Amino acid sequence: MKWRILKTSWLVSLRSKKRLISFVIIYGILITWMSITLEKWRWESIEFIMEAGFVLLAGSIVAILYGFILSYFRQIEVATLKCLGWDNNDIRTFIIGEIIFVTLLGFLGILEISFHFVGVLFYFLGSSIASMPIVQFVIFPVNVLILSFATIMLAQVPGILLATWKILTVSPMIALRKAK
Amino acid sequence: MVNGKGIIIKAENVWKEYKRGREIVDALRDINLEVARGEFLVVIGPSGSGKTTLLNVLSGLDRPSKGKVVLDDMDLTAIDERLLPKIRREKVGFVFQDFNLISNLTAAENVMAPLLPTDLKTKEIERRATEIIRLVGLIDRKDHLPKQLSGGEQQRIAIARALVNEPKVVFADEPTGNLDSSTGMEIMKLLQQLNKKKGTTFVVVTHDENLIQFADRVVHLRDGEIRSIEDKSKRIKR
Repeated sequence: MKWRILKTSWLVSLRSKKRLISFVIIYGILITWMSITLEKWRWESIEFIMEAGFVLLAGSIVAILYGFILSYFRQIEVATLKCLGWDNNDIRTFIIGEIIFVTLLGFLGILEISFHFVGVLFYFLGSSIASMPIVQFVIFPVNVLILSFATIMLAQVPGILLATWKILTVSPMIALRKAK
Repeated sequence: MVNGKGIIIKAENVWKEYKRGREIVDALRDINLEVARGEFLVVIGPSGSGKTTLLNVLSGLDRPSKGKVVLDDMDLTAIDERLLPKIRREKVGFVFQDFNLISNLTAAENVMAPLLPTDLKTKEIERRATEIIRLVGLIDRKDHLPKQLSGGEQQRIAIARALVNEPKVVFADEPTGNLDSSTGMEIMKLLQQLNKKKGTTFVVVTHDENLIQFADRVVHLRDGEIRSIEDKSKRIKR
């Protein structure tokens, strides 16, 4: 039954086009940035640690912003769902599903763009592109990409916590008060 | 007992107090009310008379400061708060003044929303939603988003959503408040038809005197107190 709620949350995010596109682009940029940082993996390097920490911080700030937008501007929606008999777990699934879905779309978007970019270069320039710095820049090893995605997902925790905390405090009664 | 079919809601010596700064305000004062199964009850009163507070308390959205509310033999004032969503899902439906449809879901998806957290099969949920949307006369609009529907159509969808879980009671808060008078009358006729056809109890809160004509009984509320209860119909309940 949670699957149906998840599916509905994905539908809702797909139809909120402006918000979806903006955040997919932002998450795509963050994942790319994290991938670039992770490629320079050197634990002993203070620069690496600082840059990775900075990307994580940026990811957390974006997640908090997204969590805030989802929970603050949709209080009436959340209150209405509570009136309809959704409990806090159902609504949490609904909101978390949306955050994870948008992050996943950002990741898939970056993969898609990378593949197409390299494909176009290969079509015009042939196999010589392998040594080009731009291609080195675009193609990340799979493990780096997955690690970047996982790290950005980890950075979502503060946003998810904020959104779920806000949701828990929404009273269903505000659904009836809106126009008064 | 209001009629021979029993009581679905019973409020006994209900008080609701709010803090306004240092002052304590009584939003409801010693409310005693019984609502019969299948009844169409209209609660009427001016703005600030406590209508919405009464609806919140009777439906279990809020707890009274004092007194007892029993809904379908369940004492809402004593029940564990975690059980309230389940009670709302199974026994209660809501119709709001602003319709409160989820803007990014189609009419049919909105109607299905109360059933998504249940154990019902998706096919069954879709069947029930289609049936109830047909009943409110909007089957050809079921794939439209709320913004593509008129106010009256949105309220019809909201009514379908309130009824899809086959509740015992539907609470409607100013259901015609955002509609023009003729659409408002159509909505009230629809509520009355559904009341007769499905036997669902309706509690409608309004400040509009024109809606009294649809009621079996009218509760006049002022300053948080019931001033009078008017029996408009002697019709025998189902």
